[in-house]
Formats: sequence, structure tokens, C-alpha cells
Amino acid sequence: MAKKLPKEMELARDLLDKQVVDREETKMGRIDGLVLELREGEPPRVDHFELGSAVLARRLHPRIERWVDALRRRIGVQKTGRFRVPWSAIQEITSYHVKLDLEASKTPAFTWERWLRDHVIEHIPPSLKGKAN
Amino acid sequence: MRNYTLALALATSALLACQSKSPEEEILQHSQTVSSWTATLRFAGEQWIANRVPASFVQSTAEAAREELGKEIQEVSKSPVRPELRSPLQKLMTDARSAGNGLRKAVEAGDRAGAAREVGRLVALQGQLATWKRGAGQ
Amino acid sequence: MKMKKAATLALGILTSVGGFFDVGAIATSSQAGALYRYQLLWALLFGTILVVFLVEMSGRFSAVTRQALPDAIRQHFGFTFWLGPFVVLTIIHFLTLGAEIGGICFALHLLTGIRVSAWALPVAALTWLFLWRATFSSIENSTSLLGLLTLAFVVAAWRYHPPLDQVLAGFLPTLPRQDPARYWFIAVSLLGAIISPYLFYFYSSGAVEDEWDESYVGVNRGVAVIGMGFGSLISVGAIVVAALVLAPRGIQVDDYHQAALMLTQAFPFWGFALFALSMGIACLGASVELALAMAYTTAQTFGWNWGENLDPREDARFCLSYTAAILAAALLIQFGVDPLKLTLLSMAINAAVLPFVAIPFLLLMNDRKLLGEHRNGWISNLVAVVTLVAAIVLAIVSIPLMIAGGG
Repeated sequence: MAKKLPKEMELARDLLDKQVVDREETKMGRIDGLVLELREGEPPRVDHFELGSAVLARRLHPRIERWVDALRRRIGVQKTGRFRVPWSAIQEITSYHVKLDLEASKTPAFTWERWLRDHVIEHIPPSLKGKAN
Repeated sequence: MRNYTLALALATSALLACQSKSPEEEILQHSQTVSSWTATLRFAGEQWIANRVPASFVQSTAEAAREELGKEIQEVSKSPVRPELRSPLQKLMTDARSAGNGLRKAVEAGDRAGAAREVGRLVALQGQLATWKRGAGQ
Repeated sequence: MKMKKAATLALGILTSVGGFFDVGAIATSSQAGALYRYQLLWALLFGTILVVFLVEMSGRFSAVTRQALPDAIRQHFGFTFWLGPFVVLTIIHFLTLGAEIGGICFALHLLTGIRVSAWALPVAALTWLFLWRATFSSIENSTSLLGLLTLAFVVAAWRYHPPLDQVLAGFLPTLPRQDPARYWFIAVSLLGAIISPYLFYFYSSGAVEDEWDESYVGVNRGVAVIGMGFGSLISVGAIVVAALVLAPRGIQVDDYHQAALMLTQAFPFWGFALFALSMGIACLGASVELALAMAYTTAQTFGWNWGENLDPREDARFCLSYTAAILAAALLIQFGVDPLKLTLLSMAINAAVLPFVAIPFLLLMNDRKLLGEHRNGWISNLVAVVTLVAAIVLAIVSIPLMIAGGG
């Protein structure tokens, strides 16, 4: 699939905290962290980016990350607080989102979404909204 | 952050300093609240007699009035103001509260004549409150 | 296309009846009229002008960028910066939602005689059901249509024959003759009630729900003026009615029961019911807006899927957000928190946090890269500066005033 990427980008402005969507343009999170690969004698390059509660918490303070991680393990729905997305998965970067060549429901980003759908929403009478309407 | 806290503290103290009322001013404010509730009970009673509000409304208004008047009675009893000023107001407040109770009972029983009597009592109390205020203002 | 644009007026009126004329406006307008007659109309006018500009900016932003505010602010300012305003916004949304639910409960109490707190959970269930089943446009259209009922205040004001010269004089600022602390407290509360952050945050998400694009920029101006103007008109009506019915009788509004008497004389048979219905509808509109605003803000902050037009199966976390918001806020009323006191508290805090939540928004309005030719001109920026100054003054003054002068 042809990739649509700009020639130049500012990391903080154009990547970090940007909305991430999947192939169907379903929203699946935001770029919570960027990981650079440091190479000897060469400029660092963006290796992958990360989504997740642990990543966000770490931006505030490592202690908060530990606390959030403990909470996540206690609740037990999400197995990881850190979802790694390789650069190669990026299909398109626009001014308002980063589109990935993935399906959201197959990624850890959608763990809670799936859990809530299967354990809560299934038990509530249907809403009859959405594409049918 | 520190400057903001300081500004806030200064503003608070300034405002509270301007606010320090004399006991006379405080008791006048309490009398204002009492007149307001007396007038409310009167208005509610009149409207019920004219069939413009349901009985349940007058009852819950009378409930609210009883609570608020109770609070005012407590506050006024703590006032350091001279007794010649305080006692008449306390009497008016308890009278207003009992008129409110009377109104509630009359409305519960569907007694229009009884309600009209209580409204009359409330009108009289309003007059007495106004007289008290004029005396207190001196 | 023209029909759709005409129908966008519905978003303006929804935001207005829910956002502008809500339980806070009812409380402060009736208090203002009862205590100071027409003297505080200037505060209402001032607040209206600011809010028209803020709402217009919010709509313009979302039409051009096709993004809602929380989404854009996290993207452009980063998570660490946005976390503070986000937490603050969530808290005021929660408290204000509690006050609005309290308003619906009080309206039902007026109509049925059943205790306010008993209505909390049923009202929560009905509000939730409304959000669960309805699409955004059906919510817009139904609350706007029902919202027209609040015109009762304007009709009543007209029927009481207010002295027009005094009313007009009230639109010019004057100083109080006695008890200045109380006067300024009510002025501040009035402004805090009108310039609520949830109004322009909700409006931007609503514009995205309605799929606005750059071609809506012109319509947006009309919607902002007419929509907010409508809400303001109702509030003027409420102040005038309170001035003519409550003030002459010496009735202050320390309790919603006192406000409930306002329309009983203008409409001899229906007055009481009209007040209850107007209050109920205004508060229902506000509750829906606030619950959605909380869900929009949370979902957008964390990048979840969101949208009232989506089936809940597609945006479970978004739906959970508004569900949790409604339930938590309803519990405040369930456990006996006084609706009027909660209203006054939430308004004071709204006023206090306005600078924090407005500054990121106003900064983005000047971003050339984002908005291009649609970024703020000098008039909008002037209003933005005035809003910030007013917001900072309100912020410093509102909490002490509440302690010192509060009714």
C-alpha cells in the first residue's frame, strides 16, 4: 500500500500526542511516546512509537508509572501498559492523525474497548444506532 | 504559583475585612432573610387559595421555611446585640415559623379559611418586621 | 446543503438552552432580579457578548480544523500540559452536572411533590437512556424544540409590563446602593454561570459531530449570535420577572421554592407548571451537554473512539464515560446535597478555573498553521484579552466573595 508521508516533520509537534487511527479510520489511541534508536556516529532515528497507560504515566513521573502499572496488574484486563508500534506500520500522516496499516481490534490498544463490549455492552439492550440509522 | 497564592490570600483578607459587619448590621441581614421567608409563605399561601399552586408545593415550601427560619433563630440567639433589639425579633421569627406550620396544616387539610387566616397572620408579621427594622435602623 | 445549514441552528439553540440558560442562569437571574431588580442586566449583557465570541471561535476552530478542542489541545500542547486543565475541567463538569441533575429533580419535585433526592436515580436512568438511544442530531433537535418552552419567561416579562426605561437603564453598569459584597457576588455568579467552559468545549465537539467544514464558518457566526442571543433573552426575561414579582414582595431567592413562584401570576393556570417544565427542560439540556462534554473530553484526551452517532458497541469507553459521569453526579443529589448550594458552588469554581481552561483555546485561535486566514482577527483577540482579564479577576475574586458575601 502506498504510503503518504510528509518529507520533513517536527517530532514533538507533528507526531507526539497525535491521534492514531487504524485502516478503517477507527480511533485507537494517541502517540503517547516516541522511542529513538541511538546509533554510533549517526543522528538518532525514530525506531518506534508507543501507546499506553504506562507510557503516559512515565511522562509525568516514574513513580506514577509504577503506581499505574500496579493498578493495571491488579485489575487484570490489560496485559501490557505499553503497546509498541513499529515505524513500518505507519501508512499515512496527516495534520490531524497518524494512520496505521493495522486493525485496531487486533491490537492491545483495543483491549479495554473489547472487554467492555463483551462484558458490559452485550448485556444491555441494544441502542439501534450507528450505520443502520 | 507563590505569587498567585499571595494575591488570593490578600484578596480574601481584604474582602473579609471590608465585610466585618457590626452586630447591628448582621442582625439586620438576618431580619431580611426572615422577611423574605415570611413573604414567601404569604405568597405561596395566597397562590394556593387562588388555586394556582398545588398543595404539595406549599407543604414543601413551608418545610424549607421552617428549616431556614430555624437556622435564623439559632443565629440570632447568638447575637451580642442588646436584648431590647434582639428579643422582639426572636418573637417575630418564632411567630413566622408557627404561621408557616399553621399554613402547612391548613393546606394539608384543604382548609381555605384556615389558610387565609395564616396568610393574615403573615401579613401582620410583615408589618411588625418592617416596624422593627425602622427601629433597628436608628 | 442549505437545509442542513439551517438545521445547524438547532446546535446553537441546544447549546444555548442547555449551556446558557441552565440551572445556574435560573438561580443567578432570579436572585439578581429579586435583590437588585434591573441593576445587574449589564452583567448579563457583558457575559453574553463574551460568550457569543467564545462560541463563535470554538465553532470556527472546529469547522476549519475538523477537530474538537480537547483533541486539538492535547495534540498541540502535549499531555503533560493538558493534564492540569483536563482534571480541572472534569471536576467542574462533574459538579455542574450534579447541579443540573438537581435542577431536573427539583422540577419533578415541583410537579409531583415527591422528594428531590428520590428523583436522582430515576433522572439519571432517563438521561442515560436518552444518550444511549439517541443520535446527536435527534438530541439537538428535541432539546431545541422543547427548549422553546423557556420563552415562557420572556412572555411573562412582557405581560407584567416592565418599566422599559428602568430596564434599559439596567444595561449600563451601576454601583450598588447597599451591601456591595452581595451585589458583586451575584454579578460574579452571573458571569460564572454564563461563561461556562463546558459551553464552548461542547460546542466544538458538536460541530465535529455535525460534520462541519470550512464552508460553515459563516453560518457558525449566525448560530453563535442567534443561539446565545436566545439563551440571553430568556435570562433577561427571568431577571425582569423576578424584579416584578419577587422584589416588590421582598422575596429573596435563597431556595428554589422561592423562584418557583415567579410565573404563577403571569399565567394564572399554567404558571407553576410552566416554571417547572422550563426548569426541567433547561436542566435536561444542560445535563445531556455536560455528560457528553465529559465523555468527549475524556475520549479525545486518550484517543478513544467517540461519537453520539456511533453504536455503543463501537465506542464502549466513550459510553462508559458518560454513564459514569451521570451516575456519579446523580449520587450527589441522591445523598442529599442541596441543589441550590451545589449550583452556587459549581458556578464559583467555574469562574475560578476559567483562565486555565480558556488560555490553551485562545492560544490555538491565533495559530496561523492551524487556521490560516480563519485565525483570530484583532476584534476577536480583543474580546479574548477582555475575557482573560475578566476571567482572572473572576478567578481571584469568586471564592473569597462566596465566603464573604454569599447568599
